[in-house]
This record gives sequence, C-alpha cells and structure tokens, in this order.
Amino acid sequence: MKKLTFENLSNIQDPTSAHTKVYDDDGVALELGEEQQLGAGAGGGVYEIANAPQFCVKLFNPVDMADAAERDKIIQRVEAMVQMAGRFARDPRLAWPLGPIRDEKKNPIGYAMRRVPEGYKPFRSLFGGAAAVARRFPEWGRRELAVVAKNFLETVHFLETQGVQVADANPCNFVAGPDGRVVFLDTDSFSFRGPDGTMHCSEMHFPDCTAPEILSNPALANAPRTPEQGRFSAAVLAFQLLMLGQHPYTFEGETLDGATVGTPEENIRRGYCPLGKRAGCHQSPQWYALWSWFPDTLQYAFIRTFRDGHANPAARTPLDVLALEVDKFIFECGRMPERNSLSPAGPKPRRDPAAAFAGPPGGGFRGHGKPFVPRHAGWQSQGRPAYANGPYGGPGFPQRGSARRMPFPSSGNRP
Amino acid sequence: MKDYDSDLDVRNPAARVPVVVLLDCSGSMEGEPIDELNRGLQRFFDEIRDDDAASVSAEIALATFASEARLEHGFASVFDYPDDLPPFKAEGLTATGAALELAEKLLAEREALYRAKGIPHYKPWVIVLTDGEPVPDKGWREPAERFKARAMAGELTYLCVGVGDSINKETLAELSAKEPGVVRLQGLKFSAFFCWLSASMHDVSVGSPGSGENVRLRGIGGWARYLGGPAR
Repeated sequence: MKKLTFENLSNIQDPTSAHTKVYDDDGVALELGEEQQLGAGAGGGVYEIANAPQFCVKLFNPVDMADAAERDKIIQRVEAMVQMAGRFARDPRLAWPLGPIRDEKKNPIGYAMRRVPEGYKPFRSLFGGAAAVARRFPEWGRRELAVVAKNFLETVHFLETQGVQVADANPCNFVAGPDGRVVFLDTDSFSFRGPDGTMHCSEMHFPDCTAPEILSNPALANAPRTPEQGRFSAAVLAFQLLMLGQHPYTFEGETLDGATVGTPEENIRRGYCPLGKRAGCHQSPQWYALWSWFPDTLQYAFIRTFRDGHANPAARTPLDVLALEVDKFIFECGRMPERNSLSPAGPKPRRDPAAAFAGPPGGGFRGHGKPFVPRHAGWQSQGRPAYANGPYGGPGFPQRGSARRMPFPSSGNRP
Repeated sequence: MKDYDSDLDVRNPAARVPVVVLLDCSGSMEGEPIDELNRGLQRFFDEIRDDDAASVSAEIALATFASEARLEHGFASVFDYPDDLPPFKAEGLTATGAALELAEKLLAEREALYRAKGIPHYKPWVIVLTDGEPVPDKGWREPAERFKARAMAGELTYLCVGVGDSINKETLAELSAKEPGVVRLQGLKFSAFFCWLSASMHDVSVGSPGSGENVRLRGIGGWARYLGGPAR
C-alpha cells in the first residue's frame, strides 16, 4: 500500500465527483444516491444506489485504479468472484460481488453487491468494553455476543471448506445485526482459487489479527493463505467479541523477562499471550474476571490456538470445534446469570482444591493414588484435543441437541 | 470504571488515538470566526460520537490559548464531554508557545499512562488552529521544533492551520510540519475542517495501532489552501 503525503492528497477526487451515474454489465444506468456513502476504506468507497436501494456498489480507490498492474489484478479478482457468485451470492452472510460496475466508457470501476440491512453494526463498534456494547445493543449480554461469535466462526469455517480464506480480518469488515446474524463485508479481499484455477491472493491483512508467521515473514501475506492462518485470525476476533474487545495478546505491566507491553501486533510477534498457566505475563483483573467465566474447554480451545498454536499452526483449534465450544458457553449463559453479565462482579469462584482431589462423584478409586484429573484436561498433553475426532465424537463432549432452544437464534444465519 | 488515579477508562480495551486540539481564542477571533469555530467543533464531537470506530478510540484534550494557555478539558472520550459544548469566547493575545508546551505535557503524561495500563494507542495527533502572530514572540519556536521533529520521525501527526490573513506565511511555515506543509483555512471553513478531522479519526481508528505509517488520509482540498512547504 502506497504511503500518501498530505500535499498530493488534495488532488485525489472522491469517486462520486466523477461518477454520479455508473452502469451495470448490461449498460443499465445506476444513479448513486447524493451524499450516500455507506462506507469507506483503503480499497474504496461503498455507495447507495438511488434506484435500487436493496443493492449498493463499491467503487475502487482511484489511486489503485490509476496503477495499471493493480487495476488489472483487481478487475481479474472481481471477475473471478462474479463467476463464483452462484455458490456464494445467495448466502446472506456474505456481501459477495454480484456483477461489475462500469463508467460511461465501460471501464470497470467497482462491483455491485447486496446491501446490508439496517441496524447492523461493525464488530469494531463492540470492542470498547461493556459501555460500547450497551450503546449499540442495549439489551445484549455475553450470550448475544457469543451467538455473534458462533455465527462468525461457522461462516469462516464454511468458507474454509470452500477453499476461501478471509485475508483481511479487520473488525470493521464484519457486521452484526440485532438478532446476532453476521455479514462479511469487503469480500473482494478474500484469498481464493478462481474457477480457472488462478490463485487470487490478497496482501491485505490486519496486523492485530494476523498469524505470527505472516507478521514475521511479510512475503507470506502475498502467498495463498492457509486454513491455519485463517483459524488464528478468526479466533482473535471471536475472542474479542466474547471479551468486549480485549485482545488475546494484551497484558498488564511487564512480562517475567522484563518486556513491556507493546501493541497487539508486537505482542503477537513476540508470543506474549497472558492466557493460561505459566504464561509469563498476566491479564489485568477486570479482564481476568471475564475470562474466568468461560467454560474450561473454551479456555483450552483458545489457549491451544494462541499459545500452543503460536509456533505450531497445526495445533490451532479448528473453527468448527471452537464454534461448538462457544455454543456450550451460550447454553451456560442462559443457565447462570453471572456468565451472561458484561460486567461481572468478580472472577468465577475457584473450586475447593480438596474437592478436586476427592475423585469423581459417587466414589472413584484411582489405585495408583494419583488425584482425579478431569478428562478434558488430558488433551493438553496430547497431540490433539479429545474431541478432535469429530464434533460429535470424543469422550466428555456434550451431544448436539442437549442445549435448550433459546429465544435468541443460536443456530446461525445459514442460507 | 475509571482508573483510580486518572480518568482513563480501563474497561475500554480499544486502542486509543489521543488528539490534542489547540484553539486560538485571541481577540482577533471575535465575531464570525469564533462562532464558526464553535459550530465546527460541535460538529466534530457529534460526528465522532456517531462513528463506530472513532467513538471507542478517540480521546480528545481541548485547550484554548489567548493571553495564556488554558486546558478546557483533559483527555476524555467524546461521551465524557457534554452533548452541547459551551461556546468559547475570543479575547486577549496569542500565547502559542504556552499552548504548545501544554500539549507536550498532556501527551507525555497520557502516553505514559497508556503504557502503564497496557492500553495500545495510535500515533497522537496535535492540531493547532491559529489566526495571529504568537504573542509573546518567544517560547514558541522550541516546542514547535520538537513537534515537527517528532512528526518527521513518524511519532505523531502535527497539523498547524492558519486562519485568516493576519498570521504571515513565514510564521506559519515555522510552526508547520513538513507534512502537510503550510496550510491556511479557506475562509471560515471550520466545519469542513472538523469534518475532515473526524473522518481522519475514523480512518486511523479502523486500522491497527502499529500500522500508522500506512494510513491514507483524505484530501484536504475541501478546507485548506496549500501555501507550500515549511521553513527549512
């Protein structure tokens, strides 16, 4: 991405000053609504269509389109995505390109997509603590945030199964609705293989949600993204949703080796994650309180991704498994009001250590004299978690359907 | 929940962008200039409140300078400011130096607090809106040079905007950083300037704190007259 100085910025025209009317692939004129910019980013702006309010258009940044190589890359990518629209365009979770948008000279300048319904808010707006969540969705508790996280994880997992990776995991690129459904924006930054076999890579990445191997070797950003890299990014965003914006690689004070806290990007590079035991750094008390109310298995799933998975991408928790753990948390939030609170009074009370050593309920004899250890703790020392055999397999994993149906949709917003 | 020894909201984990706004409220701003400035400032706060990203990140410190520099409000989220800002009045001289030193002190304390509390932050912004020659004519060049050096090193964004024609180009050039150079406000387009500023806060807030170098700022042609590079 080019760095722009102030002095040449004054020469950049807002795309709508040059294009008040744009055209679809059939030459039909689409009038851009006056002063109806719905969004803007580095890649371009999104505009309402006055005569088709259920759709909108993204017009690419004129700076990018002025560079011939960049322009060709963008156009080829959008063309490939439009060819794939049959697989993805109907999915309400994706703002997928439906067709190219052209200027009066028939040059491609953007694409059309379905417009996000009213009332959807970017994840970014929920990452400011309990007060920020209350401002956007006053009725929400942690359960509703968990529903959003689950829907998000399931969507990323679905894309992964289709060979598509979310390259730019910027929290402004995902929006959540009042009912917990999610929509993925900026889909033209996805990394995917086109119908003709061409790999469309995207160098876009949001450093705070980028896998450490890419941060250490920026050349990897231009390479095809791997599912493991996608799992890292998605897990960071899911964590932030559940933790009201707190980043998994932020800590308070200094590390045990004397390092001070840096930006989340710097902490990811250095592997400073305060989650779990013997982390070398610690969370501040109010964030520990929120973290402590997660079920143990959800905590382990995150720890596997952020600590074990920092240097070993294969160890990162698969997203369908992480989504199931979040589903369990949704159930628990309904059962225990403390788990649902955005501002818990304190951390979850620890279990009495003596009770932990007493063995399983109803008696249990470990002839070798070792203390009883919960089954779910065993996977920490094994190559894969006990439930990794499949979402319904493995010992100790709740059977699907055991969660009570709650009024707030928890089954996602699949098409 | 505010930290017990400061007003930092530690329950908001979002990366902060600290913004110091220094407003010239000297006597020469009396009348339409100060009215337009007040209107523009109100619009700035309203737009930040409505912005999904900037509302959780921007922390604004507001200071005015006339015969002395005065801190009107320390660093705070827009939600900690009153919905309707009390209008500023214009009277007195132009203590630009005192204002710049105040901004330095505020920023140093705030950045130290962010580090202590583990709150990530973006590059700070220092905005100076001034319509007159600094009076007294001493004590302003040194802090201006320090801000210019920090801006050159990429540590902060420092923007000095001349208002009207009373401040001559040479003084403005000495106050201004290399980027964007010497700029004057077009007429009394305070609202357009503050719209640009709130949009810039959005652009910064949607990025990662560590990627400040790559933020694309919007064109300033809507409110600025570019007069060339700063003094060497």
